[in-house]
Amino acid sequence: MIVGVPKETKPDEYRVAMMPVGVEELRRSGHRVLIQSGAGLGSGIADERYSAVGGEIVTDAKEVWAQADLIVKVKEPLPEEWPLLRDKQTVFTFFHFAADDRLTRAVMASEIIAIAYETIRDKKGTLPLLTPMSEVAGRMSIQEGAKYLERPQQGRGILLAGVPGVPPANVVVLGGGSLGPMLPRLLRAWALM
Amino acid sequence: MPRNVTTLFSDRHTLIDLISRADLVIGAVLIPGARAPMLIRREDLARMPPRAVIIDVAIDQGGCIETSRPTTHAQPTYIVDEIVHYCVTNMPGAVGRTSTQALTNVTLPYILQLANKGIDKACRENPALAEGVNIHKGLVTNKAVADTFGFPYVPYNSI
Repeated sequence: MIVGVPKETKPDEYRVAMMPVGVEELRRSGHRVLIQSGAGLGSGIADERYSAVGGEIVTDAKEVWAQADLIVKVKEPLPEEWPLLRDKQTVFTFFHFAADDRLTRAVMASEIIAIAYETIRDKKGTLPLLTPMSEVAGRMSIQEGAKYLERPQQGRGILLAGVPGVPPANVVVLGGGSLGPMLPRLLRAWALM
Repeated sequence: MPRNVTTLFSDRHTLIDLISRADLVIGAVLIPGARAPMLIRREDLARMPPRAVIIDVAIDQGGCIETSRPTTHAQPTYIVDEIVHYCVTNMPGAVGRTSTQALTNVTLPYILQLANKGIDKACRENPALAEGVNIHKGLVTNKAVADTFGFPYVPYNSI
């Protein structure tokens, strides 16, 4: 099988869907792996690290999409990428279809097989591919919240964690999604109410 | 739960009471596959302290605040009715070195299954993967997605 890893196209998206260890494992099983040049740079992974373990570096995203049986990505395909989707191709990425009817229609029309990270659910009922990113977003939500509470950032001018003698910010968390189990620990770490 | 955290049953009255005293609201409601439910309406913003901050982590599933709309890391926030909204759709993308490792640690075993067994065999042998198939050659195979847009739902196992 030919596995393709395009560079992410969303603004300020620095993730990549495969690290060199993935290329090595796939090569060991006899697959070809196409990596778009520069795909790993945002995560500090140069092309050479992929080619050193047998990855084929491809300059053009179109070529990755045109050749790969299985495309592995991070974010959903953006409108510029929709014409590149090919029938009989499988795309494995975050799709979040319910938030985007145009994407849903484009993917239906393309006849691909769309496997979404966010709905993979294991025997225990957990969402193993969504959870690690929720863990990141949950941690970030506290630090970003802290930042935007600062007055120059248009916030109320409150230090999230407070100081001795001055109470911390009041934080309300809506929902026990996959952030649920982790947020209380974080809030405690920040000494929040 | 740690002592500084209180869990409360979610109803409209409790919610309004809470957000009227909140400095920071984190929206983290998830219904897998479906659009996030809208918990805070536009008129509720007037009850919140001015310049309170809402971080809508559910934004990539549509968001759980009526006034949420997707933003980017370049311009993460905007203000509606005196409330700061932060709705970046790819928060983990900002910390690529951490997120790439965390993501690929868990995706690689599934990628290997798909490549080694072939797509259909891998999905039939691993129900977790089958749950991931949202759209299969034009057919919507995830019930939450089908229901969101009113498309017919075709279970993957029936294909």
